[in-house]
Amino acid sequence: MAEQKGVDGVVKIGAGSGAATKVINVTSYTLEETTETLDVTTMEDSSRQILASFKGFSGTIDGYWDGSSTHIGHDADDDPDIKAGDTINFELYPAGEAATALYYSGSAIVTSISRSASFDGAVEYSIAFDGTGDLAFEATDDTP
Amino acid sequence: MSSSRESIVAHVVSEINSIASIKKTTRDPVDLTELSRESFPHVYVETANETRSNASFSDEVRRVSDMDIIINLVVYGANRDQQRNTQLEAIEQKLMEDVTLGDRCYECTVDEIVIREIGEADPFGQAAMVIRVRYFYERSNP
Repeated sequence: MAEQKGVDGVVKIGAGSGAATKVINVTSYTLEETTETLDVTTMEDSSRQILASFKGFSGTIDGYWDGSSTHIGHDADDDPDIKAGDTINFELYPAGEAATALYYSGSAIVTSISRSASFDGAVEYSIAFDGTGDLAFEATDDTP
Repeated sequence: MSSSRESIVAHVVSEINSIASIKKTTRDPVDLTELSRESFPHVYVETANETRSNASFSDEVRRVSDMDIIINLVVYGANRDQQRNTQLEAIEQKLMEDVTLGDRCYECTVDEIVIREIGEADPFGQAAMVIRVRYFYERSNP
């Protein structure tokens, strides 16, 4: 597998356990896996002794705000599908959705959504989320 | 279906055509000496440089373009400088009434006004207004 262009990426989000659908106008995303560590170093040790503890993941999705987006847009009757505090399920495809494409999926809590604008730029949004449960490493040709 | 680029410049021409004080608007350069006096002020619109780059992805790959459109203005007769200023102001005012150019672009702005006199231009007075148009389009539909 060769290097991949970010522009081929696909980002999908679903509210709650609903079907994940493509998010429009994405300009960038991040997905970071982390783990907490326990320091068990004692006086007998000459080097730090570290144990892995709870794993976690978090991420961000940035893009151009579009009122017609069901994810972040709204109208007089309906709120956005994605709001701070909501549980979402997501799928991140770094290289598109081709038959053998790899992707990451999981469930997360939306920790923040920001909208920003300046006089000489487009209106933008940024979604931040913290993962809950395991991050899944999947491929489009996986058979359940 | 015309391209975004052509649709935008055609709209600009249409808008300038609707300015009562502009007598003739063309998309092709003309020999000024062959125009009647009633054809002035005359405007010649041409598309110029354009830069394109990727803007966003996921659902559709969208690209952003910054395109320059040059609006060449020619006035005729006395008070050339005054005529020129009056017509430039009229053109800018008209275009700024709707900076999306009828939802064809994200924004258009007047970037530059250049006075272009080559040698002794009398009785003509010329100027060029450069407008910058930013528009988004889907990669599959330029």
